[in-house]
Amino acid sequence: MVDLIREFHRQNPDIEVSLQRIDWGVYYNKLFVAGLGKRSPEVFVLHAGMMPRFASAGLMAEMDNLLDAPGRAALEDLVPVIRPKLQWEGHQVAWPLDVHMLGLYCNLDLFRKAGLVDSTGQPRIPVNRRDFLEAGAALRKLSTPDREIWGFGIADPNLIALTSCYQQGGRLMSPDLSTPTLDSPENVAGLDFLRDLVSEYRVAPPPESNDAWIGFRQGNVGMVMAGIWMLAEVKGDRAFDFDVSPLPQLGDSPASFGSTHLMGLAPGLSESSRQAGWRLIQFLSSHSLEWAKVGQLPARESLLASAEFRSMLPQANLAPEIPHLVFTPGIPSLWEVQDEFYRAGEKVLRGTESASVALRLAQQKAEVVLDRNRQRQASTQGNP
Amino acid sequence: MNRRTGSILAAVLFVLPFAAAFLVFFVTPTLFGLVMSFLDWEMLSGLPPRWVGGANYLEALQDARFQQSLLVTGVFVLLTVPLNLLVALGLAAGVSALPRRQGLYRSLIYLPVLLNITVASLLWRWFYSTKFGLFNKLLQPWGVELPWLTDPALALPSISLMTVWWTSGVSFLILLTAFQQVSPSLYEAAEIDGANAWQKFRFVSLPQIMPVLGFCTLLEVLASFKVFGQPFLMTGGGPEGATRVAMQYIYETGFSFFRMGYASALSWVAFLLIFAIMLLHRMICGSGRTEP
Repeated sequence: MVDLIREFHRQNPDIEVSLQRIDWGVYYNKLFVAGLGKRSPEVFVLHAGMMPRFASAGLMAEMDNLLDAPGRAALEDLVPVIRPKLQWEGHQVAWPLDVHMLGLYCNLDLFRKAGLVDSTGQPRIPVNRRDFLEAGAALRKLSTPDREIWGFGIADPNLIALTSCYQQGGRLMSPDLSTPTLDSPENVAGLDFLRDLVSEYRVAPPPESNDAWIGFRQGNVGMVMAGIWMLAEVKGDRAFDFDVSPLPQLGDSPASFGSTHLMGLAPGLSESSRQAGWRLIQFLSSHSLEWAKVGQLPARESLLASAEFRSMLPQANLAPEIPHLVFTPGIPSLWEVQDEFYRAGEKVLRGTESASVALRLAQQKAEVVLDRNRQRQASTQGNP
Repeated sequence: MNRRTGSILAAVLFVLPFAAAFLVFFVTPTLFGLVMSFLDWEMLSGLPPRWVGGANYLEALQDARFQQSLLVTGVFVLLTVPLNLLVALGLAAGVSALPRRQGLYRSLIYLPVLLNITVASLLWRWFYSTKFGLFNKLLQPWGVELPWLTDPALALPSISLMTVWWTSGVSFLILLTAFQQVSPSLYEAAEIDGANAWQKFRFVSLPQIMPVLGFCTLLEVLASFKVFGQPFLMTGGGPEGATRVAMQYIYETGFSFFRMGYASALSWVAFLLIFAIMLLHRMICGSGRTEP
């Protein structure tokens, strides 16, 4: 990003950009406090899941009038699955820097050792549920008394639980975003499958925060589902041969948790600042191949189709996943609803409660959250 | 200007910078938080704050998750404070008795305190990993595999143990200084009376350092009640809320769910509890003042 800003300065000497890096752990706190104090940075980045909360609070400026002819052409160039995530109440409020999703990281050395190769000797990466379970079992058999090998590691339990449910057709909210659907049969099936990987098929150890990722980096786990943003970490290891592939289809439909880093403009800027910010946003978007090198995918179809990106491995492997990405629902109280789902997922994976019971409780809690928000909205509008 | 006025002016000038900072960065936000606790204010809802009276406090009293987080915090304090003080006391007694190289041991024991909480927590999270961690690897020859952070009964003691490793250096240093302040003549007198090492510790050192030990206890209790970083980074509050302490619950309510009014009410409930404990400590241990 520093290089990109340097290049922007070179091409736009009339605009001064001061880049500030902030850890994600405290980033949103700082951003929202700055926004409320009307001290937001002119251009800022936020995840798609956070956009509704910021936009509903009036902390993101509309970009409609900035969409000139080149801007509209660029909009058409964005991958279709992202376009609805850029709008709030019918207005353009954000622009994507990238798109990111989960991929299947495979230790190819272990695959070869387990005989998981095709007729040409290339590792056979699972693409469906049957292949996946077979690979998991074969990798597990590599264990010795001194060294335990796991077929699969649930590296990020929350995102993997979401993905497992998405693949069964489950969602967190109804299509019109009015009702939580945490306890749907599809979500129950999604969590049941994950629990079965631990307790029935025994190909995965019980999840323990992000530790399966450490196990993968140690060479003790054959497969993990992890974000493409983790690529830089494992690339530096060089301890074993690995690849990242699209997720296997474990349920009824292909799907992965997806998100995007959105760029927004602060409200209340002067017209010249808005124009400068817009130029920066468009510059970063059109140069997002550079950004992709550290482990994200560009959000523009022209860049995804470019020879440079197609040779950018393993990121390019995941491009076919893009149409199947499922984004978290665009509701301001997403984190609270999501938190209830995550709590249920933890109980199920630990085996303390069945998926149906845990998700029913989560559903009740999520309904309380949404009811509270509705009541507040109604009381503010004088319509109790 | 007479001498008395000059003294008062000097005192005011000395106190003023701290008083100003204290007023701006502590008193004002605290009072603002008190007002917020009576408001329904979800900062990112875009809706204006609404006066709800004591509704947030009522909700706090009925909030099972908050009650659980208070219970977890209480257990953490009970686990951590005695262990921390015992370790610090033992180390301080040992190092103070060393004839030489006290400086080296003092530095080594204090070293973990210098670690950033993130570094310390992530390091220990890896140590504790059931399948891929250092501790279970070391225990492997004996066929022992402990679910350090994944068993609800074991997770909090594991975090407590890490906290003792990380923080006992502070109390150690204070207690070491206290040990070094004990007059050698008292030990000489005890030796003449035939006291052994334990008796010298029990009847000479311990009574002499008791006020400092009381001070360390108070510091440890307050610090343990405010625990946040270790469980947040090591377990995220899991498994199933077994390590979700009050500060984490308040943080999530305020900064993840943006329910600022409710989070303020929770903070005030927690503050009142800690304040009550401080008063209790004062009643038990006295004010700490000695007779002139």
